[in-house]
Amino acid sequence: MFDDDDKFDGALERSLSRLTLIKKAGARSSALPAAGQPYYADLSPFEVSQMSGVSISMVQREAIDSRQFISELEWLHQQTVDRCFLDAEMWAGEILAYLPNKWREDADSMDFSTPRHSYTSRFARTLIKNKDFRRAGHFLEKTMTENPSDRFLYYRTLFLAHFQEHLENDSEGIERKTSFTGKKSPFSDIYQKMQDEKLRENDDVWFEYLMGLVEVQLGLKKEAEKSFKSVIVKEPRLWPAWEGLTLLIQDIEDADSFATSLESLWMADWFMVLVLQRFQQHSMAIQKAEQLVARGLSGFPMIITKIASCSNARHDHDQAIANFEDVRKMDPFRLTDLHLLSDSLYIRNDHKKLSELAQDVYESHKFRWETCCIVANYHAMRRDSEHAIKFFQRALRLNPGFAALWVLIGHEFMEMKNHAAACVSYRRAIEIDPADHRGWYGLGQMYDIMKMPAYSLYYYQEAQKCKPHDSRLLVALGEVYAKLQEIEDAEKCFTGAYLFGDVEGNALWNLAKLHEKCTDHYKAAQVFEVFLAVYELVTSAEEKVMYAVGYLANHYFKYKNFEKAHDYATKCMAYESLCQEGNRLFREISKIHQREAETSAEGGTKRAATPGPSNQPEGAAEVVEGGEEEMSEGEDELTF
Amino acid sequence: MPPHKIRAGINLDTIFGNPLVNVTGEPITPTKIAIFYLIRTLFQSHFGIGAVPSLKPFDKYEKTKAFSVLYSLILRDAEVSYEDFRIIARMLNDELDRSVYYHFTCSVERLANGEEQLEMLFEDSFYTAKRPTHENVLKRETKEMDMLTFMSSTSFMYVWIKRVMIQYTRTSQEGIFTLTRNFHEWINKEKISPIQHGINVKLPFDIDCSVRARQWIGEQLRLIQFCPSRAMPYSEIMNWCNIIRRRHRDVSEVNLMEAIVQIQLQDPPSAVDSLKEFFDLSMLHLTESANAALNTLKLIASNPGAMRYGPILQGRICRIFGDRISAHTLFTESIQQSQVNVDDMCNRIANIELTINEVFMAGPILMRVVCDPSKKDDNENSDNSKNEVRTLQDTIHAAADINMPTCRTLQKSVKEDYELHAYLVSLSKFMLCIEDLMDGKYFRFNSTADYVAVGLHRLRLMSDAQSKGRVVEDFAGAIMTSALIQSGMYNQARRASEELLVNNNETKSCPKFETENQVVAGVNFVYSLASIGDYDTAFDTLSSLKLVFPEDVNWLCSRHITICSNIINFEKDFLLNQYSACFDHVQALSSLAPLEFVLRKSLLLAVTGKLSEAVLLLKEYKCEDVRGMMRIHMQLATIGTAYGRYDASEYHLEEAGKIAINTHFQDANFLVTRRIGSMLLTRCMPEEAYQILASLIDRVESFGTYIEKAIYYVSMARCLRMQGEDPRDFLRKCKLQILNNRWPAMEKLILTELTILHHSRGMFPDENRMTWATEQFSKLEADFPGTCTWLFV
Repeated sequence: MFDDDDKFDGALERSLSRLTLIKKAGARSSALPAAGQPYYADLSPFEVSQMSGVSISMVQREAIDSRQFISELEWLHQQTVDRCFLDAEMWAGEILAYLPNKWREDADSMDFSTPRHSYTSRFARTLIKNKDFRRAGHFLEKTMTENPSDRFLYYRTLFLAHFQEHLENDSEGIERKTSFTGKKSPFSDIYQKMQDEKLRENDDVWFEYLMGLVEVQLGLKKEAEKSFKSVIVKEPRLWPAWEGLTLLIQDIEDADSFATSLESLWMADWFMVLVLQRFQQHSMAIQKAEQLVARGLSGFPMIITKIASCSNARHDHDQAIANFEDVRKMDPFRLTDLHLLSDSLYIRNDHKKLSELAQDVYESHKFRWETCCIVANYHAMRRDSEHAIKFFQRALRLNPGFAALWVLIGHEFMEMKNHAAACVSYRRAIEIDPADHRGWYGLGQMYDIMKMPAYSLYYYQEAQKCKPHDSRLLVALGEVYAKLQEIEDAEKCFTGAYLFGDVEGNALWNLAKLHEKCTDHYKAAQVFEVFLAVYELVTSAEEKVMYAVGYLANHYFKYKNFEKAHDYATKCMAYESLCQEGNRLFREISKIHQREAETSAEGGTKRAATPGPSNQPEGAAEVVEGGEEEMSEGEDELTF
Repeated sequence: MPPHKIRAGINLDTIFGNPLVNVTGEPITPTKIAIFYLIRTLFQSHFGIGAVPSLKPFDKYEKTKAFSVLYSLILRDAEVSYEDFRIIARMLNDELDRSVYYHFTCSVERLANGEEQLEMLFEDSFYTAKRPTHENVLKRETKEMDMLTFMSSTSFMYVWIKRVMIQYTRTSQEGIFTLTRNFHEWINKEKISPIQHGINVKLPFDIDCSVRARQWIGEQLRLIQFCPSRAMPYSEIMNWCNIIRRRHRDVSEVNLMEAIVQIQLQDPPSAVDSLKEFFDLSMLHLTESANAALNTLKLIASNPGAMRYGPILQGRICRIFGDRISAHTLFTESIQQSQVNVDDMCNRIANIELTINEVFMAGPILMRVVCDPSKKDDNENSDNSKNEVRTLQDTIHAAADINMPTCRTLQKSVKEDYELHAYLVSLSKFMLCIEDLMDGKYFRFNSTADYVAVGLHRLRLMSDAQSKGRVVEDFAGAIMTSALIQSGMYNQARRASEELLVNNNETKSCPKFETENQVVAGVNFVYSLASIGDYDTAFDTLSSLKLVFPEDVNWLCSRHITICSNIINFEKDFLLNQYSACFDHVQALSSLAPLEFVLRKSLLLAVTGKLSEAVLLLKEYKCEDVRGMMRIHMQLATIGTAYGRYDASEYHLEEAGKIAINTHFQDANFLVTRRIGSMLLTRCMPEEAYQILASLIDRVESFGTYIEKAIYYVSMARCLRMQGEDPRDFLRKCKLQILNNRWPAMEKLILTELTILHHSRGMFPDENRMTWATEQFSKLEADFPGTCTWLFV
């Protein structure tokens, strides 16, 4: 009641001061009674309003009915919670949290269908939703002794508050690094407090999860991993713990044995998908995800997107585009991972779809980093590097921890021939994520372009270390080795690239060319044969196929395997530009056959006479060889 | 004037972080705030407050006073308490009057009471106000030649003020709160608490701002290379590097520092990592010239130099850790880049590196003639190598030609210019020295120790601040001593290396050197001592060398010491017939010096009777070193002689002789010839042997080690005896060489010879002497058991 009196007094005071002002004004205008008269005794509110020119009703009403008041607000609160009106929820919650004690007793006696929290703790929850963590913590501190879930929330708000402050400090400090020595991390205080209260052993498993989060913040990764694992063992349904674990797990086998040790739960499989993706095992991740789909989880955008992004990572762009488009049909405003769609479209050079996508997302989510990335890719496809860089930069502002963006910026700088800036961009990417092979690869490529193969070797090696089974990296590494005349290493790389599934289809080609260059014709021919077997029907490789056929035909002719030479000469006939070569070989072969037939006939008659004639075919072969060499040179010019 | 056109384009400044962030600032501490306020007070008294000019600016004398106080405050690396600061201000007040103390304390205490906000800037009017009186003052100043102005853009104080102001401007709101809080504490408390967080946190003074951090890095870099024992411990350097990396993002040199330390810690992969990071990050740098920045409105500029120098340093790492082929390609790439970008300096350095690398790769090719005209069978090869050598020489000549006009114009700043120039001069001197080596200038029969030492001194020319020139000069000297040792000019080598070691003094600008040059000179000194059989001094020197170059600090240098001590120990123990100890010594050599290992191991194997193993070991070793080849042939011949395989022995001696003819090694000729003599002697052809051996006496006496001399003398003695002449003179000479039981086996041999001489049927029958000799022999036999089989090593 005191509170109310105070309020009343305050109001009176305020109206009084207004009155004095009015009076003073009136005195000046001599519209008011003369001085010396009592100030307000005989002035009715009406008169006052007359003087100020404002008319309001000032009739005294009866006291507010607490029950009705509460039920109105209760209704509003529930409705706003249901309808997600966060600020209205806040408003109602705040009023309810500050109910006078007597009213609160009334409220407690009232019956509501929803589970009951005290108004204070309910308001605290709303505050958390509104990201006002410190204030929420202040309210929860009052109620945490009564309610175990409030106790959890209290620690959670502390954690979130520190986290937010940490981020804010980061953005305020002009220098990028603000965590300096000397000051104890606030997280360690929380950790200490929680340990003192023995919350890890608490029945509520969420406490242990929270401790895991704090451990992550404190850099205690081993301990955090242990905490998350124990949380999952206690409560396998607690997905956040799984999610936290995906980033902490050290190797795939460990993750797998952990996931299988638990009873079959779809979350374990999904966890494995994320882990596999993290360790760049994209094909396996897709397999796992498809298993989940087969087990009945079809039509979930989350899973389809994951499959799509893994497909993108393994350069299966058509698959990625198809999957992303499915998701977009289902859920047109789902932005997660859509930048990968733009990446795939960029690589497939699909102007139309990319510009459509860019327009769509730019309309709906202008300031999401994915949008910026998509628009940047759109500009990049139009060879407008400057705009592309601007948008990538904007995306980086929105999501600074994303290394790939720096790589893309680096690519654009390379496009603009600004090598120095490209170099530093790639370095930034590596700085953010040292396991990102694209940064290393970009650097290697840059120095390679500058004609410094030996210097670039290091970068290719680093890139290959990040992703040991990527054929493109191996091919690049092999090319550098070939340039440095380290033939054996180059051979190893190309072979490895082919064995690991050659994405771009040039490992075999490079290997064959390498052998050819080292005049190891036998090996070269072998590789060319494999190359033909794999790529004969691939249209994009036609030129190379032609070269291979021509090479093989000549090779076998040279080494007198006329049967095979004949076969490949027949193949030559399939290509217009090789027709002549094929015909020539046919003629040569038939000449030799003819001569052989003649000599064998002669040999039948004059076998005992002289050995001269029997030598003749070899001599002829030599002559032919010379001709063949000339021709093959011409053929080289013809095709390349 | 039309406005300068700026090309629209991507602004690198915004992309790679606001460069202002990286501009060097002075970390602000309470003392520095006070200094700044004191300066401001002084300015107000000198220039005036606001638009009102001061009526009584400081004169020259007063300015000197003010400056001396201010500079001493600024240069202090410790915090001063408020109490002391007030004393200083009062002192200033006594000198200058004008109520400096009053104004200063007022302004500071207003701050402390919270009446004013901390603001470390000057009011606008300070820059804009016209000060007629001040102009007068200026005129008067010029008249009086008063060069002491407060605001000269090159003065240290101006720079300091600027840096404080920059740091203040970029301090965040939170940081300013912290500063204010600390300042309050500073005024109110006796104790000074350093700032514990934010960008103004108290760091070690040497690295508390990026300028000082750079300086510290430069200093440590130099120390690690010149004198590692004076540098900070490596772990601590790495810690500081971490701090710098976190705090001063613009100091990319920290990566270079780490690379050097990692080389010292023998971790080449990490070294390459750091090095690469250094060069990649230094592709962009803050523009050094303000003009360029104003013209382009950009602070970041690209620096293509990194691309040229990167390969050189990476190549150096490769070379240090033995990957010479990679080093070769890297140097070539650098040359290529420098030629494309017309960087003459880089081109020279890369060429020199390439040459050095070639030298390492091919062993000592430092002779004009490498191919033997008699060996026509591998004609193609030798032609190639000839060409190669010729191109190398051309590059050397080009590099040594310092008068090329382009060289001097390429450098940006005068200081750098001078340093580079000095460096180039010394490098060219070095090249001249190598030329001398190639010509064999000092390897004359008659060049005395004095001549060599004086000759080396003609290199001494330029001196630069960092003594880089001296390092190169020492390098030349060290190489020269090695070459002298190789040529058997032990006396001269000792003199030259001693000179090098004695002249290694600490100067003001640089410490005593502890580089590879010094250790090579030291080791050569030891070798030359050992060559005259002075093992005691040799071992003393070795142990002192070990103290100066401990392995954990300076592994590159300590390697030489290990090799040296093992070789000397081997030699000593071998002569005492202690073969098991010898095996231990040899094992330690296997990875450090493969050639020495092979030679000695095979010797040991042969001594212990494993003949075929020894021969195989020698024959399988692929030696590119000319002298090494010769030694292998000689050793094969020796083994052949000892086991009576004279044909093999003859063949190898012939081969060795072919090599020896074409080298400038003074000792090569007699080494081979002496072995031929020994072979003939063992084949019982004393007359032929004598003819060959007798002609060698001069050379042996000037270029032989004591072992060679002893063998020579005893061989001569035996020849004479077998021809029926008096050998006692040579026996005496031989005995002189092997005093102090250095070589008991040889002594036994002499005694045997004596016994034969004085035997009743001998040349000079003498009962007493014979008995004495046999007695001595048995005494020796008791002390040093073992027969004297291996005499003609």
